[in-house]
Amino acid sequence: MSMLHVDDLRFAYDSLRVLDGVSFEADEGQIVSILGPNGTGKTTMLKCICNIHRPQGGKVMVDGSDVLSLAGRELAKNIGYVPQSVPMSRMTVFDSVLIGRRPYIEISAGKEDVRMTAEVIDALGMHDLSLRYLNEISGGEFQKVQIARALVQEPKVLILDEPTNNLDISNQHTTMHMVEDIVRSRGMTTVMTMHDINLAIHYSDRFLFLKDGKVAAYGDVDVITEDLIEDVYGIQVDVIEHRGVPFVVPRHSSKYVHEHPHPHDVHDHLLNDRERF
Amino acid sequence: MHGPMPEIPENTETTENYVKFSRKKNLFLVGLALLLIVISLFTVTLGSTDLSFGDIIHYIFNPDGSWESTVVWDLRLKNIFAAILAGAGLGIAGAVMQGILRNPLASPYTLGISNAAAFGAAVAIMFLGGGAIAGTTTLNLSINNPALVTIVAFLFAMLATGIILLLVKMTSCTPETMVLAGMAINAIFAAGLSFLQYIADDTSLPAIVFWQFGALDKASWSNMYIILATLALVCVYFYYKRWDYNAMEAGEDVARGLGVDIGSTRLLGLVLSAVITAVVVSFMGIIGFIGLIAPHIVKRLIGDDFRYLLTGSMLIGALVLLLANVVGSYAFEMTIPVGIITSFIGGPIFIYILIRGYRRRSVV
Repeated sequence: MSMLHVDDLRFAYDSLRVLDGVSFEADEGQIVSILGPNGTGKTTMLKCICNIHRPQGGKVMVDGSDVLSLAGRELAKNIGYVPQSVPMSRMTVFDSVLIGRRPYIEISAGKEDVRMTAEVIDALGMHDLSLRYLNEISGGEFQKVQIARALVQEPKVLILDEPTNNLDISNQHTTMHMVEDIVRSRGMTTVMTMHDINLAIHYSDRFLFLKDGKVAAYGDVDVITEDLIEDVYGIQVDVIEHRGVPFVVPRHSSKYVHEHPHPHDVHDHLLNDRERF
Repeated sequence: MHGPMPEIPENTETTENYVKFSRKKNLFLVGLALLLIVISLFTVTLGSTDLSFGDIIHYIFNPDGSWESTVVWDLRLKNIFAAILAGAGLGIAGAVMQGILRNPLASPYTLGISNAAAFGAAVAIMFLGGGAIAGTTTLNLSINNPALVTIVAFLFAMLATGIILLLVKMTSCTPETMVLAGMAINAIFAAGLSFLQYIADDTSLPAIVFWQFGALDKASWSNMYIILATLALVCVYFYYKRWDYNAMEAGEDVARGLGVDIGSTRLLGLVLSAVITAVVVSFMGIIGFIGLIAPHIVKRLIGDDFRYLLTGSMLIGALVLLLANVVGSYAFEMTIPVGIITSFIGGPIFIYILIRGYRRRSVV
């Protein structure tokens, strides 16, 4: 049986329908990337799965039980959520991660809460930073703290909204490697939104393309076709194979493509280009 | 594909370091409490009546109704307890308001609660017969129906809070809306107060002005029991919610994801902060800046963690108010109301914190 089963999820802001019957399933330990153009409802979908936005219809089942009917704390023990942007505060890395134990804390944090927090901080290689204040660490480290906070919740499902947002190319891959290591070793099902299709391809098992609040395609890497990308994003691309993995290259929007270079060069150029920004 | 996570022993270095670090923060709070006791003991020796420290200790434990005993208990100790209670109440109210509204400018004063209370007091003095003046000079001015003035001041403070909440309900419950609504309320009541002062007659005007000056000696012992009881109840709730406030420090979405009911936490936090503020202001008048600077000083010293911030803000609030009272009582030829002193020193301290504070690392 699947670990996460989202069934016919519906949500509207007043009269504006954002999610129109979204359904998908994911197995234990699988990483699912949600892809689609800006404003198509990706973040809204994640918030509906966590019940931060109350869906107007549909079900979210985690390990066979309907989590939307659970109280806040119980839901938080099943689903950990890392938002796209988090405000800065003057808390230490350790205390900031410890907050993730809030669903388990009745009056004050116990030994188990502290032990679990230390374990996650050590596992993510942040032991040297644990007593530093958040405003004294780098953007990549800050992102790690956010993910660490969700991990100490010990959720069965981890939800990440743009985990590589604002990170440089090196930190994008470091962060995604870390996420992959952790969720695979703990069997956590992970659902994340991604803008960069090629980055998603590297780290995901399943791909869900969202268009106008509906699922345009869901499946493994084979669903990523030139037609699908054109249908969802409205641009023409070439899906070429690069070292055994599909690689999506815009057909008309890149100066490199006009010169018909070798696919390897395209890859390198694009990486450099992305790095510059 | 990937191996399991390495086994990590029970007591890692990270855990030990954290425990040591937490102990340091607790020690810091204990240090503040000791400092408060020392300054209180120092303050109790100050005054025009000549009493040795031994005499003071004697009268503290053996109050006998003598003039000396009255000086120790009803003048000196009463003011010290008033400073501690009012400082603690305003400090914790400011800390919670800044936390739940996620705005460093939120405080009982900036949200208009203090000015609403002052407006209420002015209404009671002018229109409800609370304000005939007993006494002929500004030194022994007093309001002849303090209970009425206090009750009306409290009601107006709660009215201001109610208006803020109503405005927020009508728009949407964002912290920005609450702070902006509070500032608008502040401006309206400040204007109303100016208007009442402008039209007030010769006996009401000094009473209104006198009421606004925050002064510790206005509160009686029975007033202070009310403040103490309110503070204790409010503290129980705030301490119980400290993990939720910490979660909100990490942003609304994180807090919601952790199961925090943001709406009710924010609503109840604001109402209870307003209640403790209203109680203090109603009995003692406007004491500005304590609610604003006390949490900032603590955050600067030991960070935003509410497990320490709540206690720290109460201790710093009490310390600042106690010191301000010493300055107001003994630094000048005449006694200056403590509310004037806190605003005088609070402003520059706040500017100092803004310019220098956040560039430096914390002490703990």
